[in-house]
Parts: sequence; structure tokens; C-alpha cells
Amino acid sequence: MKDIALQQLEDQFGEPFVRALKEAVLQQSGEDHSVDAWPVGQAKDHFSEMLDRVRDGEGQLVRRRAEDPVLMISMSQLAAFVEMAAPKRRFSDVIAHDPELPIGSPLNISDAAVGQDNIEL
Amino acid sequence: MPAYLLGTQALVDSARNDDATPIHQWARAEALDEDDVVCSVASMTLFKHKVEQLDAAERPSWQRLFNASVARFRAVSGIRPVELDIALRAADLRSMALETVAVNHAQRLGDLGCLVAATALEEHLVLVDRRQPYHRVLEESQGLAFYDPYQA
Repeated sequence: MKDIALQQLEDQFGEPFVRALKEAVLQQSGEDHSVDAWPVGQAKDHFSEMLDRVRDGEGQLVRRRAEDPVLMISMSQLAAFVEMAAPKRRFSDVIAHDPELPIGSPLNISDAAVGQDNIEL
Repeated sequence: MPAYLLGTQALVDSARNDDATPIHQWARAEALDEDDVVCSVASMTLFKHKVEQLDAAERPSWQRLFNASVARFRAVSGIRPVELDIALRAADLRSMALETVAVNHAQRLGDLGCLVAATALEEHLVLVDRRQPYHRVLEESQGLAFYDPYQA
């Protein structure tokens, strides 16, 4: 996912997730200014680059664009933030109708054997 | 902790973009959380194979629905892998020559179906699917917890 905005993060994971992520990144950076003082545009740059890297599978680098030092955040930490901060959805919402997808005609599937692998001893 | 494992037909129906399927109705009625329900990676194999067998008119729509289903379940860590215990349990099930119904006649349950059932048994999950003859056998002999929303 490229150029994801902070608002998109909030839309996807909820505001508590973004807040937790901000706090975690600030904590790891050792900076002492408050989250509120962090300009949204600047934060957007930080998070977009981080998520680009995470989603591309390289996963563990967070580069501060304003300053050169590189922060480290692990995939497990990121997952923990999601687990901790994202509001839990209903399963029915996960599989709910999506107007961007086709309906899909009924599809019967069989779990019958169509051939078995066998070992000769 | 997940509580339910969608069987392969249930997984396919959950992927339909239709809130009226028995799976959608069951999910709403039970008010399940997103991490209450998982599926087996073996069901994804069967699902993808079925999509690839469809004719050219139907395949593109179902390919998109399959991709969306994979993404949805991955996003909630809802695809269960086949670990060793599951593979060994599936071998036991394979020896039982379990019966399923295909094209209106009984056939032997395939290896992938054995892996799905073994996942439910080993992970103590309620298997949710359209009832087949082998489900009753596994309920009685293996203690399978099973629910059929298609007959509810």
C-alpha cells in the first residue's frame, strides 16, 4: 500500500490504534515532545514510510525523514499494537456485503477424494 | 481464542457477496467477533482449485471473491496451518474411509477434507459446515463438535 495517509490508518484500524502507534514510535525515538505537538503532515510522512516498508515485507525499519536516525519497530510489536488498540469487529462485518465485489453465484464444493497419494512399502 | 472452524463449503459461502447465505445469517445471529472464526489452509486449497475449474464466464468473479476471502482471513490471522499433530490426526481419519456426498452419491472423503476435520479436532474448534455423512461418524467416534447452519 503506497502513500497511506494518517486518516486512512484511522479509518482502517481506529483512532486508538493510531494514537498507540504514535506513542510507541515517540517512545522508541526517545523524543519528549507530546503527540499533540506532532504536526499531522509530518506524522503522515513517518507512518506512510513505515507502513510501506512493513507491508512490503522488509518490515522492521522506521525512518524519520526529518532527522536521519533510523528507528526500529518489529512486526510483532506492530501486531501487538493492532491487537491492543484496534477495535474488534464482528465476524459478520468482516464478511459483509462489499459493493466493490461481484455477488458470486452459489458454488458447491466437494471435499471428496479425486485421487489419493499412496506409498508402496 | 477462536471457537469455530469454517468447513470448506462454509468458507466458500462466507466469500459470497450475499448477506443472505446461511453463513452470513449465522454470523449475525451469534454476534461473533472477528477472531472467533477461522478456516483451514487446506480449505483454501480446495477453494482455489474449484475457482480454477470454473468456466471463463464465472471464473473472474469468483477469483475476486476468493482473493478477497484470503485477504479477509489473513487480516484477522484466521487461516490455520497444518501442524504435525493435525497431519498425524488426518492420517487416522484417512484410515477410517469416511464418506462424503459428491454429485448425489457417496464418495470417500479426500485428504484435504481429512486435514480440515483434523484441524477442528486437534484445535478443539466447532466445525461449521453443511452436514455430510462423515460428520456424524466423527461426532460419535472422535468427539467432533459440529454445527450445521444450513439446517438451522
